[in-house]
Amino acid sequence: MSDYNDIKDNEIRIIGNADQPTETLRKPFYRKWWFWVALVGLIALAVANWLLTRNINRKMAATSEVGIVEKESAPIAPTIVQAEPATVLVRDTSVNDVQMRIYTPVNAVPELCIGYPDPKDNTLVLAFQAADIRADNHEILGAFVLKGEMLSRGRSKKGFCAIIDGKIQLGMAESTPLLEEATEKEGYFFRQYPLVLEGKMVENKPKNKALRHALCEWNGSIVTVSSMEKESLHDFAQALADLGVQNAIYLVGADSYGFCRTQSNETSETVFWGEKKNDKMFEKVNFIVWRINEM
Amino acid sequence: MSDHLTLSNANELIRIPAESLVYVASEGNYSDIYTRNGEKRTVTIQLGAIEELIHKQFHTDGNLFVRIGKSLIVNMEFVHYINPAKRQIVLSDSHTFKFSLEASKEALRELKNYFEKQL
Repeated sequence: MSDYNDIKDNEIRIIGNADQPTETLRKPFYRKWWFWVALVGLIALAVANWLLTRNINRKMAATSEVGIVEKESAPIAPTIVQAEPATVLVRDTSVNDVQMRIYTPVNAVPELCIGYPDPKDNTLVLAFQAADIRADNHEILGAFVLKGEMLSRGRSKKGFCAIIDGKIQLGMAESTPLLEEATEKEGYFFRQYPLVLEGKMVENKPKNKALRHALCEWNGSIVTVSSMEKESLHDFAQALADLGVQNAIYLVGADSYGFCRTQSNETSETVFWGEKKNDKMFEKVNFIVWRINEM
Repeated sequence: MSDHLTLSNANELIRIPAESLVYVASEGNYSDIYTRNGEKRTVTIQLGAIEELIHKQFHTDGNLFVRIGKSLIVNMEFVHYINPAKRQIVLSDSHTFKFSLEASKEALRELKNYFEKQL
């Protein structure tokens, strides 16, 4: 019965057509007014977007000789404390009800590596998974440079971390001369979601809740921050910004693997999180690690 | 297959030959049935239910009729004039009766297209 009442005033229906109880003759979509309004709106948006992008690109091109550079931090040297052993300072804090653990590597220098780092390697003090792995081809997502060798290309995520001469630079850019510099100076480079840029939270698409990790520039030092509970990317990024983080990019979250080694007096303690995955998809699993500074 | 539309309730039964049924207009929970002899009969049946009866009783012969929007069922044999801009549809056998009705522009434009495609 409801089928027979399902008709609008601007429609007609021939009664008695074969299979269906009735056939409604609706206007083709291209003959409806809203189609043309939507089409004109989309065209206007596309033109506005093109004009805006063109202007931004022109401004950026004026500040950079290589591609479009949006923002990046100044290079930040590792935290060095004379006469202290390499270690990781760990402190907990809470911002906006987001419980976070902050790891500050001391007397250790950052680098990237492929494959799971060996926690028995006593020169390693901190390890976090860095770039994501593509589900389709199991390759690293986005540009990735390992000791000057470009292992992967792409810019699907705008955030980046460049490690050149042992100093980390975080930023957000479609393309950056730091990628080239990393290849020239045997440095390291990977891409991830940008979370905080110049103290302001950056919005990202993923909306689910998970354990989150981030690589941050905070009070002039490079730290990593982990959420203690599952958080949305939005809440986590906002909490980092409210904590006073100047720049931050995401590190692989959820059940990603990592560890940290703390040192006090003569004893050291290694804390692990996440899990190792041995299937083929994770052959290119990669980490940012901090190793004892032997300089 | 029937050549009559039969409407029945607890008290009465009405049979209307398909060729006599000119149009049915909705009046809320009631429907007004107009026949070619100029008679109007009000029945306590909603227009959707009458459409269903036409479909079931006339089967494919039911496509003699068209539902126009929420308010009308029209016998296409008697469509004499359509003017979408004026929202006007005239039903007539060019001889004994002439009903001038109102419907939406869009629906009448569709009906006009339908007839044009039948040419």
